[in-house]
Amino acid sequence: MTPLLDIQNLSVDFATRDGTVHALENVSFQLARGETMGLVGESGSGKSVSAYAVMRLLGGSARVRADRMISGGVDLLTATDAEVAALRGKRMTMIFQNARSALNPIRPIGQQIADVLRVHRAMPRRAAKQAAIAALAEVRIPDPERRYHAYPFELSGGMCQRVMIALAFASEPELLIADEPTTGLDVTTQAVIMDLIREKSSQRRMSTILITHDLTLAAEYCDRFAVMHAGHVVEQGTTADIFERAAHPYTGLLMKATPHGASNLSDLAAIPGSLPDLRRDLPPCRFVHRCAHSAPACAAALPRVPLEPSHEVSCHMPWKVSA
Amino acid sequence: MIKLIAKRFLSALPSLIGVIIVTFVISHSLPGDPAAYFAGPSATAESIAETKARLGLDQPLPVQFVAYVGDLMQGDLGRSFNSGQPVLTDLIRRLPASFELTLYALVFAIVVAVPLGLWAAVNPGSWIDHLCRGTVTAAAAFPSFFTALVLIFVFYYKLGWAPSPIGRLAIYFPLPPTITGFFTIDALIAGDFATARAALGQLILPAISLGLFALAPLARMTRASMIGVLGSDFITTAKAGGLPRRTILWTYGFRNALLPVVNILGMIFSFLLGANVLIEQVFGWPGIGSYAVEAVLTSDYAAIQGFVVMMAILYILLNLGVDILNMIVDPRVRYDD
Ligand SMILES: Nc1ncnc2c1ncn2[C@@H]1O[C@H](COP(=O)(O)OP(=O)(O)O)[C@@H](O)[C@H]1O
Ligand SMILES: [Mg+2]
Repeated sequence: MTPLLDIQNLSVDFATRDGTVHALENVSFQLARGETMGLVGESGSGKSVSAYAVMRLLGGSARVRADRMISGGVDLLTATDAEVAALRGKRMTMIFQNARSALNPIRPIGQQIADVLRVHRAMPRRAAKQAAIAALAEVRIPDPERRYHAYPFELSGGMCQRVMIALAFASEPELLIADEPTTGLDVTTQAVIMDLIREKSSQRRMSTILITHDLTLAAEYCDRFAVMHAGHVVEQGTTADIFERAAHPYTGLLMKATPHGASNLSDLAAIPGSLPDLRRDLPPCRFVHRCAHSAPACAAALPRVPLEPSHEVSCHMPWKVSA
Repeated sequence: MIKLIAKRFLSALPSLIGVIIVTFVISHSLPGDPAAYFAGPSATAESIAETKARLGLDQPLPVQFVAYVGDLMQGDLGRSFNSGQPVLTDLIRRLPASFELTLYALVFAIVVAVPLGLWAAVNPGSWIDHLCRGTVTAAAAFPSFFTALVLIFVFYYKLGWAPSPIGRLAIYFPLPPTITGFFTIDALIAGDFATARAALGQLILPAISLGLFALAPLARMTRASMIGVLGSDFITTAKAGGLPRRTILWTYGFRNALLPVVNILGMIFSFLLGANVLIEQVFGWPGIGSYAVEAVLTSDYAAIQGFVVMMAILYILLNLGVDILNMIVDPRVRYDD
């Protein structure tokens, strides 16, 4: 079956005052219908840029190239702005880390949902209001009739994230990209929000890309993972591939940095060095300076090594993961 | 909400007191002796002293100040040497003229600057953006009285499109009955369209000269605000949700971008009231600006003080008005404490 999302060799550069930022290089991944993929990596590794590129939400300073970028049968490389705008909401949508700032501060939250409903379900004003209240109830916001009129600043962070979820699901999209939807929320709320996303997306057989720092949390919800480092997808595979048979040294370090059931990637003491400056000329393997297993061979062009049909790594020295 | 308004009002009181003290001191250190002026050219030292005593000007300054504040409390701004009328009466009679002019100038500035700023923000780096920056800078670069003179020269003297720049209404039109004090509105209320048109005609050049002055800050603020809003997270959400461009720009973008613009309107209005001083002079406009100029030229203490105190009060009231406007457009303000 053709995948819902098919990205081949996506590269993104940003033109900035201090030079060109090579934010993504040859990023490839596919997503099947109904599948949930975790996109993990340190902060600054290009997860959000990948998501924005798929949504075609990158600003004018971005130069996007790819061999293939297909979402729901639509070629994102050649589609016009109007065609992409028609895809957004209906076919693919996104929820963001800081839900409060992601909602219009001076528009009642119910109306913001109704705005989406009126566009995608061609509802009249009245019906859209009823449907928006129903959508709020569906994400278990108490007293939805009254909350319809609330403004984001009157709600807690967790409540705002529920509103975001209601907003995202209102148009019944096929693809949901959740960019760190639970970062900044307390642990209980994190679980509630994640359960809500899983429940809604499995009800509708939606595909989900879950961008996160939190490997432990993600392991519970994702079928597959793509691990990103400095604009490369260094490894991808099923959850078992990644968690039990990690082949890339960076994945191994990520695992070690996230001990069982413990915190998240924000305390990355175990990973030596820091991300390379993406404005410089970069070596083929962008991890080489931080890698304990680097060898002369690593200076050659980066390979994509298939280990199993589901498991692929971009490394000259795979399996060298120190246990 | 009432509490908030009261609080804003109270917090403005210290500045009001400061203004009263400063104006008193400054106006009494102005050069020129009003008593000598009033006693007339043929005055003797004796008659000047007599005038001084009659006006209370022979008292020490602190005593004069206490008397002045006492009068202020009762709404007595003193009597103008020039007109012989109570200053308050003078000001109230002249205020509508200035208000009408300023309001039209503000409307002109908003109507031009806000769309220009929005347009520039939606198409940054385009020719319209450069045009916006160019026009706005040019408008700000010339002193308003100079612009006024150029406009008069071109549109009255050369082209003859504008009526002669003297006052609010040519003498052969009947004065409309006073309701709002705005000639254009009063004439419309009275159903006198010819007079309304004539009053509007008189307003156009001074309003434009004055309004050009406010173009720069308004357009720049609108542009910056809209660019900021269009780059914010909730616009990305709106795009991700597939809302049409129209909704994104207007309902989500413009309305949020307007908040800081509304915020500076009070400042711009009072700024324009101040800039009136020169424009009224150029156009023979019988407003408070020309009154103030006359007062300064003749060392008319009471009138100067009255003018400044009234401006301070107006400023406070305007900002209060803006606060209330803000509460209406921005739900977050309503709950702020
Ligand atoms: N608009 C932009 N202009 C320049 N650089 C950008 C822009 N957006 C992102 N980047 C850079 O791209 C890299 C990846 O960022 P991002 O995708 O946000 O990381 P994360 O994995 O934390 O989501 C970072 O180095 C960031 O500085
Ligand atoms: Mg990010």
